[in-house]
Amino acid sequence: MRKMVKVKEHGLKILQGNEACVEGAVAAGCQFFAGYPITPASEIAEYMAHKLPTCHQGTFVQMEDELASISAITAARWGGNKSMTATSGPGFSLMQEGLGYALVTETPTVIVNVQRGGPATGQPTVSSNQDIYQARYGSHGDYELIVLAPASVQEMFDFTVKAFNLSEEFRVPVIVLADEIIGHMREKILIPEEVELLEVESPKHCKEPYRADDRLIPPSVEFFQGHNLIIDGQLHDEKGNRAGHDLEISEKLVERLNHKITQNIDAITDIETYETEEASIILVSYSSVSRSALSAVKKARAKGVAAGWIKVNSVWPFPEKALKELTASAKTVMVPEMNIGKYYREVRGILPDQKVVSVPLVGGKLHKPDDLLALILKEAKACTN
Amino acid sequence: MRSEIRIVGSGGQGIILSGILLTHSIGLYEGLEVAQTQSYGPESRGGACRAEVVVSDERVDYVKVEVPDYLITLNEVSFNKFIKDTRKETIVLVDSTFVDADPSIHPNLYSIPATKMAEEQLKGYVANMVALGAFSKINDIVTLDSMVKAVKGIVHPDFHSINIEALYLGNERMMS
Repeated sequence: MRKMVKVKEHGLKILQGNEACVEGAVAAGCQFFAGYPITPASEIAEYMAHKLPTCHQGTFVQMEDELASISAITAARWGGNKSMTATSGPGFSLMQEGLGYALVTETPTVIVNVQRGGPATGQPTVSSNQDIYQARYGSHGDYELIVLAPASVQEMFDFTVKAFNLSEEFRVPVIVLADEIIGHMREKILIPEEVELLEVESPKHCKEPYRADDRLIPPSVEFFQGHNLIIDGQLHDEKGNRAGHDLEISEKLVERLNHKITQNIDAITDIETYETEEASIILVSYSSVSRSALSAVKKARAKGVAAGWIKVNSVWPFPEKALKELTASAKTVMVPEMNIGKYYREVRGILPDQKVVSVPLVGGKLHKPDDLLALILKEAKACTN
Repeated sequence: MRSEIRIVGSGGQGIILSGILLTHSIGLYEGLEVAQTQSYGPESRGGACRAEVVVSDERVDYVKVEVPDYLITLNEVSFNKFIKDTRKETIVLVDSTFVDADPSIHPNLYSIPATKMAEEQLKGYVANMVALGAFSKINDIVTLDSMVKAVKGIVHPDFHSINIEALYLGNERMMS
């Protein structure tokens, strides 16, 4: 059931992206935050520590590290509280084991990764998209999860609310994959008077907490409601009993964990476009780079080039079908990103008959519109020759 | 319409606060779209510090400054570094307490001894506000009135009067 819920501190404001994320979380009903501060995500913990206990009767815990943080938010959700943590690349690496646990136990929770440059301690104060694969493949085993990439302060609010709803709907951890630019930027934001929240009804006295419905999603259950619950990291049967030794049951569970996301991809996919119809050159972008890309495409249009722009908000699961359809008219597809060229590989993989160009930038530089424009004009010239 | 403002100086001079104040003034009281970014590393606590504000009448796409329409510099190191990234139409404002700029170096150079005025006339660390007051006279985006409203919105009430006085001081000095 979807329900409109009032937002306490609504209105037009100027906020930092990290602050907007906190506003989104509390608007979505987050009652528990466990985290360990790290640049450039620390403002989320700082602001949560201030807001959650004082304004929303929630709990903020500064944990000893990121391993503990992700474990705490997983447990908190089973205890009945919507929960969240926030970190950056190095901390996100430490969370991967716990993320796997949240995935196999089908725990709805939200992890914010405000990306900085890596590898390792890397570049604490500058932006990147280098965790695009870590967000998808960081934990071991076969799984699917949902990753949203905001590109503005408004989207830090909107996507955080959406992350909570998607996590509840699909019983999966959802990652908000922000970056330093978005996290620290200040912009105008309109916090709505009400947000739409998903409240999934719980069954009565559930004995099979992992028995899925026809969308492959198990029931919404938590402790202290009279259900028979076993929460365990090992593969299990529908009751939660360990069944890693049973190859049939294990096969069924691993397939369902993946298919509950891939089979519902149309309900998850979120893509914005500008002038893609009949465009011969299309830029596929995400996160803060998408704004440079849009600027470049508008400049190219002003010069008479049939350029188009795609911004992928739901970067994972990879929206293969939607991207194929939206880029159908393009002879050339360009993928600018603040990493060595990772999402490019995904795009190239689904468009074997089109020219797909990687436009990587590493070291913390954000693509300049004029540099992208020069590449678009070069491609346009190549197309006409 | 797109307009870009860059404010530079040493960490501790209130560069970031100036950027935040302009963002609130322009976004909330001038009704324009605005995106503010800043240097974030140790330089924001000393060394060369930078705040950037991009203004537009539609949603800001590229969030960083390409070539500034306005450059405000509060120390010499940052002046020498960032004057190179201007065009002749760029309006440049310098704090002449620290920047000994030859007026012939740039056709749109304005100067005000912001730090000296703040220390001597207001006995406070409000040189950034003196400079913003002066800036209100030489730009067509944001008014002094909007800046005063923004001070009331984001500065602790104990420091409203000195900051507002500093804005007026800079504004009046630039007028004369």
